[in-house]
Amino acid sequence: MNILRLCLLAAGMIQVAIVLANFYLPGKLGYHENLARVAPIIRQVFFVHACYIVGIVLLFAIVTFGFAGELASGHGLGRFLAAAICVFWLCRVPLQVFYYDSSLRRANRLGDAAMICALAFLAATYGAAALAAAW
Amino acid sequence: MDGLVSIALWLAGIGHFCVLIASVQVPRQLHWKTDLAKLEPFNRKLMWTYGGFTVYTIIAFGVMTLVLHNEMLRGERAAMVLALFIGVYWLLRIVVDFTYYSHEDWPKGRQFVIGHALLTMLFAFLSASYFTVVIWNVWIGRGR
Repeated sequence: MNILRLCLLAAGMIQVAIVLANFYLPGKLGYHENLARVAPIIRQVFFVHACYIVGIVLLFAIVTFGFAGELASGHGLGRFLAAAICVFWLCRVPLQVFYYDSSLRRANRLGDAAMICALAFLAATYGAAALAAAW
Repeated sequence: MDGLVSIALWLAGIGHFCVLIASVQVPRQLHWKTDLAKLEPFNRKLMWTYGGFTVYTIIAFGVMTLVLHNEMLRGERAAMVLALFIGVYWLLRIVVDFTYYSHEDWPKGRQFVIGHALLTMLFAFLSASYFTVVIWNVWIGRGR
């Protein structure tokens, strides 16, 4: 098993961990108390978007576990998917660093650092898979 | 039948970009700016992030369907998993619409009722198209 396959396996596991973390997040960030202040439709859209994003991340993990070979093949659907997942996680890095509330990040420094490392690893791994054939 | 499935896939790819036309209007029509100001900054930013990533996902589905049209039609295994996922994704969106969203909070007016109906029909078409691709390739067209 080459390094890229191992990294993809690790990426799949990290994404499962992110999915699981999303079950802990609503309590930690006080979703229910906070969202009680807005109109019901806004609250509902928030929860629907959150669930759909969790579903997408779970899909990434499933595709990575089931089709690591295709993702690293460097052509067709596998290459497109690897590139799309790379862009997804790459966009998430500046959001974490520059957009999210810095005071909250400072209060959870370890979690924040782990998240940034995980995001960078995911972007790099899928980026490498997308470019695999070019190397 | 291959021709019909192919046309449905082209239309489904384009359909994703039609969904985006409605999506970009949501923040203004539902007054996100004023309503989300009541949230703590982190939750407000989370809402915009979720929205942005949802738009990205829809763009990716549309581009993938148009660019990798032949791979999807050929019924490659990974393509079928994705087609099944996208079919479920849009089917659940209809279920959410009917069972979870409070329709009395939607913007009032005939154009919104028509827009909502058209959007729901588009979701149904998207879901049906991807399920058809899976059923056609996995069961019906297996012997081709």
